[in-house]
Amino acid sequence: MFIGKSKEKFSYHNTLLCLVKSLENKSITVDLRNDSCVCGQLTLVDGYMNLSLSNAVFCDPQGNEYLFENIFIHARNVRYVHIPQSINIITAIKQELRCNKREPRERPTAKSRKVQKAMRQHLETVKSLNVDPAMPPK
Amino acid sequence: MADDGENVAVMTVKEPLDLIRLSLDERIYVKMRNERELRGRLHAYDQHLNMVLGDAEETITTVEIDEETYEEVYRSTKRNIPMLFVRGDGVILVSPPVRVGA
Repeated sequence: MFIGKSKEKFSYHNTLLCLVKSLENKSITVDLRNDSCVCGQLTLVDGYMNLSLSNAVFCDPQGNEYLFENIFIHARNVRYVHIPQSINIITAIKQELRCNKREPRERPTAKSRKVQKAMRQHLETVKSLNVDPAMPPK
Repeated sequence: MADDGENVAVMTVKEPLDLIRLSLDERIYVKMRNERELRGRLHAYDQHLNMVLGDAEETITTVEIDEETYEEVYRSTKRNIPMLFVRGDGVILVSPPVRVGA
């Protein structure tokens, strides 16, 4: 179940955020707005597309590399996320959304007396029309 | 829906994003902020213009001033990414690839 505020849940279910979320626990590369890039294992994606990576290598534009055990990337700084070629995006999204499907809310099955009465009258009307269901419509 | 017997999906353009839907699974051109351009096959998009591009080619254009003639020198570097998720906040425009090979 996706955890977050309703706004985050909306983004998760209605935008490509679910695709990024489906990349969790995979090794990915993220290009940042400041021309740096981070490679590592994606541990967590929240409803704003903030990313957490573990065992990450941060590469700055000068070519220096820094190793981080854990790194947090603010969503604002994400330019691209490289999707591994092993991933089929359609199946990944379907799988992701299926795992997090909410149980359908229990609807009251008992109908009010008014509705029951209307239904009964409706059925009587249908019966009074005396339509033979076996007869093909002309 | 399709009364002429053809199984054609009815496309209606009601809002600008519907135009992008017409480009799904087509090669498109995306102008990005910071003088970046992308060309690639549009696999998916959403309301923020987050996009998934397949076989994407990114072109980065940088301007340098020639130290002797003081002329502007445009240098473009390209790179290819097989599958790319693009965050929508960097997108300026989306269009069919009118300038292929420019």
